[in-house]
This record gives sequence, structure tokens and C-alpha cells, in this order.
Amino acid sequence: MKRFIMVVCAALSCAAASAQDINTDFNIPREQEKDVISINGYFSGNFTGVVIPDYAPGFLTDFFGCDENKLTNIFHLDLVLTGEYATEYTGFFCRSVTDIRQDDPSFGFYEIYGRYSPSYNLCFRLGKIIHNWGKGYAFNAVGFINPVKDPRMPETLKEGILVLETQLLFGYASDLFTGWALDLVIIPGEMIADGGFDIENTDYAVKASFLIADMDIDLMGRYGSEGRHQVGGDVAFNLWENLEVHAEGAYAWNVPKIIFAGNSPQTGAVESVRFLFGARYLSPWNTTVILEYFHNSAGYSASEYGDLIQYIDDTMAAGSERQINILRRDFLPLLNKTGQMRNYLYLKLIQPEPFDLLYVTPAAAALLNLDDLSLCVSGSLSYKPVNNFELNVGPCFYCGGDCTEMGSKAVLFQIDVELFFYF
Amino acid sequence: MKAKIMKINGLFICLLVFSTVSAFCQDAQALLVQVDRNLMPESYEAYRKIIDIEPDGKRKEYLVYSIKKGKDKTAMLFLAPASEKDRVMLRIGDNMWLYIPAVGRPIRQTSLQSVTGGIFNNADILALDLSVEYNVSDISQDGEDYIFNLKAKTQSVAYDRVKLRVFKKGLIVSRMECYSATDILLKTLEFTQPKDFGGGLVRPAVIETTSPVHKGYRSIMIVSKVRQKKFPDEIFTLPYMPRIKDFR
Repeated sequence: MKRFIMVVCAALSCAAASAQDINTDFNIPREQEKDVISINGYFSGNFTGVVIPDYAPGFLTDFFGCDENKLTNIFHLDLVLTGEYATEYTGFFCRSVTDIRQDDPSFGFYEIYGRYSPSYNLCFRLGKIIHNWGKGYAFNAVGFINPVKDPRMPETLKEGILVLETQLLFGYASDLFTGWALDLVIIPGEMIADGGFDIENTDYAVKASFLIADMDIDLMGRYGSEGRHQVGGDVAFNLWENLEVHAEGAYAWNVPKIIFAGNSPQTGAVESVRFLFGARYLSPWNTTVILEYFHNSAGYSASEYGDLIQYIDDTMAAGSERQINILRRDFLPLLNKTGQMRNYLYLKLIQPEPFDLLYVTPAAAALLNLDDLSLCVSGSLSYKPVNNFELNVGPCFYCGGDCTEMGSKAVLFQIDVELFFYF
Repeated sequence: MKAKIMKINGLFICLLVFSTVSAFCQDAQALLVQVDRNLMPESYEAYRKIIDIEPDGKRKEYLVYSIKKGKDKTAMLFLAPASEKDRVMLRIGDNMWLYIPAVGRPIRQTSLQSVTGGIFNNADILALDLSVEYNVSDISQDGEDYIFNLKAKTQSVAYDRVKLRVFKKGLIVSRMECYSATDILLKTLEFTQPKDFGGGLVRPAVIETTSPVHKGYRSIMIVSKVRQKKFPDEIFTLPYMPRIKDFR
């Protein structure tokens, strides 16, 4: 055996003689430790410049009270800290954010939960946890427990919801059927005044995941309070080595919807069919193209949405502060959330290091509302010159008529400049 | 009668040629399996440092923990730098996924992409055994080396053709040239600096790659602490990806 090793070493050493020797020893963090406490995170400096239009029902949102036709800027300095304590069977994880604004410092948790996993097959988690159900990038027809997505950065989720969940997982040494998992999630109702939870409004969600014949398949459902139930499924697979396709479909009962009865808005309940088709393509020039179509049958038509916006505008023009506060209460969820109308198209292009520009990754995305033809166009330029440092510049334009979804936003143009330093 | 004998002779020669070719293929493929085994155990855990060196001399380093089970399941956890920490890549056969904690779900990737942005693409970093992805189309001798010409078994394999230089003594890879379907040289991998990893495994600790497509760029992979290990199948599933860090 020793002779064999010597022969191999001699042969390889000859081959390597011309090559520059590289130090093959390197430190491996916490290799032998089973009980681990780790803390890491990042500083993020974010400057947002906003031009507010002179007409905007979207004033009801973030920029309520700002002057019209004026450049407003907001500066954030966030410290995001991730802390983790892990043993073989248990763990505690938290991701906190401290937002040091000019005049409004705040602290909160994106995620905070405890874990108990007695075996590879079983895991319990309790706390505030991020979920991202579905295969879509900009929309998720089956995102039954997902946080609301930001249309400018739909792929990044920040804040989880409070849940108790169990995961049952099995894997197999088969080429056709690699494994399956079952997730059971209990979502308690809102916190109530005495510090407990509104138990009667507890929701239950379930997801079954399979990997069969190179296809990721999920089937999911949510049993909601007040009869707001949802069922659905999604699938993703590689059609060719550089083309991934994905689809989602869902049916929902008793979806709340603000509708007009006569001249006043009322909240009704409708049934909805949602579906999404998408693809992600990698070109020979290393350009990634993401294209998605999303449909929501319970969404607003262009005329319905126009009526709503007109109503908000009229009430704001004539209404008292009390009426405006009622508007904010009733309409904020509608105005803050993208995907409230029926048909959308999403396109994103990402080109790493174009024209040999090292460490630079530009990307451009467009979200087109096919019902009222309003558009949100955003771009980003990411620059990572050294490890753990990142600069992102991202302009965003909202284009559309006064009574359209994107045109009624509180913002005409927005530019975000973000600096990240990870440690 | 003569014609009948000639027919039988012809059939015999065909059978002989077929069986010889078949035997050659089996022997060559068995030799390739041995080359694989001398490079890595079939199921293992290891640490790797990946260094991307740009034309201006700047370096980016990544430290990863990688595991593999059987012929087609492999996964990798990023330990450093801090910006990439806890990202996980999983490969099952031709399928690859990347899990980013901030995104919260696995996203399908292609073998041609590079998660680190260097010359090593995903297929190089999450490499399966060569004998799983390639057939030996021919084998020749060049002094003290074997030269294997390998052909991809399917179109989803990252390189259509690979030319592999292997030391006859010990059957250890020393050089690998990767070609596209149009016969363009995509990259060259040099295997250097032999090291005894214990358990009878002696293999190059350093893999250095250059590409005529990306002139001036270099990527280096240093392999360390290779250990044969058995894993449950559950670890190589999509729902387990966020928990791989707990497994290490």
C-alpha cells in the first residue's frame, strides 16, 4: 500500500512540477462541534428617492401626508442580525432587523423560531417563520401562507408569519421516486387584547411535496376561518438542460372583494381560480430570462378598478380626516398588494458581467397589467467587488393612466441605492 | 455449400467483432469506474475551498461542505463568505436546485450556470462520477498515461465530450479537457498536488481550471478532509435543504 501511495505521489508530483504550489490546508469552522452558537448578519444602508405625482389614491399608503410633486427621500440604516443555536436535535433561530431611520428607529424580527427534529424524518417548528410556497417568481397562485411580495423585488421575502408546523419527510434510493414530504401548518388567529390568540379564527394549511420522474410536484390546501378555503398544486421541471418550466393552479372559496353596490363600496365574497405559467431560460450568452403569466379570476377588471380609484379620489378630495382614515383602513390591503387585477405578464432579464465588466450584474424587469395596460419597470445594477460587500442601485418607474393600478401608486419614480456589508 | 460456409463465417466474424467491441467497452467502462473510485469514494463528505481569480488578480474565495451518496445524489452547503453562508445546492441526477435562505425555497438551476460566478460551473462543483455521465468511446496509451475519450450519455450533461488523461500506475486523473457538441474546447482542468486523505485514498488535492472562452480567469478547487460516509436518503430531498446545516 505504501509503495502504491509513493508511486502515485511521485507521478502526480512530476505532473505538478510546473504548476505553482497552492497551500492545501485551510481552516474549517466548527468542524467537530455539535452544539453551535453562531451570530452573523449584515449592515444595509438604503437611500430611496421618490417623486410623488399630483394625483394618487396611493397617497393612502406609505407617503400619506407628503407634499405632492416633490422629491421625497428616505434613508434607512438597517442592521440585520442572524443568531442561531443548534444541537443535534434542537435549535433556535432568529433574524432581527434594527431600522435606524432619521426620526423613527425600530426593532423587529423577520423570523424567530425554535426547532425540534428527533430524526431525519420528522421536524417541529414553532414561531415566526418565512414560507414560500409555489414555483413562480413574481406571483404565486398557491402562496397560501406566503408574505406579500414587493413588485420591485418579488423574489426576496423578509417577514414570516406565526405558525406551529410539523414536517414528515421520507427519501428513497429510487431513480423515479426520490422522496416525499408532508407539511402541516397551524396558523393562529390575530393576537387579541388579553395577550392570547383568537383561537376560533385559527387556519390550517397542508402541503404534500413529491419528486417524481425529475418533476417537483406540490399539492396544498388551506382550511381558513369564515369558510376561506383554498386548494391548489404546482409543478416544475427542466424541459431542456437550459430551460425550466413551472406552473401553479389554485381554487379559493369566499375570497373577500370590495365591490360597488349602487354608489358605495361593500365587501363581498367571491370564488376564484388562479393560475400561473412560467419559464426560466439560460441563453448561450449566460443571460437568464424569466417569463410568467398570472391569472386571477376574482381580480378586478379595468373598469371595476377604475371605479374604485375614482371613489377613493372623490372621497379624498371632499372627505374629512375621519373619512380618509376609514379609506385607509378599508383600502390599504388593496393598494399595497400587487395581483389584485385579473391578468399579468412578468419579464425579467439578468446578465452577469456584460462586456467583461467584472463583478457587475445588471437586471431589468417589467410587470405588465394586461387589463389596464399599466406597467411597473424596474432595473438593478449589482456590484460585488470584494467578498461580503455589495452595492445595488435600482430605479423603478410606474407607468399608467390615472385610474390604472400602476398609475394610481403614490410614486412616479423611485430609486433605491443599497449598500450591504456582511459579517 | 460453399456459400453456406461463407455465410456462417461472416456471421462468426460479425459476432467476434461485436463481442470484442462489447468486451472493450465493458473493460474501458470498468476502468473509468476505477478512475472514479480513485478520485472519490462513492459516498463521502468533504470540504472544498473554491478560489476564483480574476484577470486583475483579485480573488474570491468560497468554503463549502459537500456530501455525496451513491451514483447521482450530491449536495453542498456554503460555509463562507458570510454573504453566501447557509446557501445550499442539491443535485439529483440531471436536476439541480439552489436554496437561498432569504428566498425561502429551492430554485431549479442548470448545470451550465455557475453559482460562484467563476470558471467552475455547477456541474463541476456538484460533480457526479464520470462513469455515470459519460461512456468511453475510445481509449489509447501515451507513454505512462491512458487517454480516455468520453462521450456524454445524454444531452443534459454539461460537456458533450471529455478527453481524460490518467496515470496508468494508480489510475489517477491528471488532466481533463471538456468540449462542446461543436467540438470547441470549453475548459481544461489540471489535477495536481497529491495528498493522502487516509482510508487508502490518495488523490490530487488541487484542481485548477482555465478556459479559452474566459481568457485570464482561473478557478482553483482545493479538496480537504475527504471521508467515506453513509447518509440517509432523506438528506438528498428538497424539503431537507434548509436543514443540511443542522446535519453537518
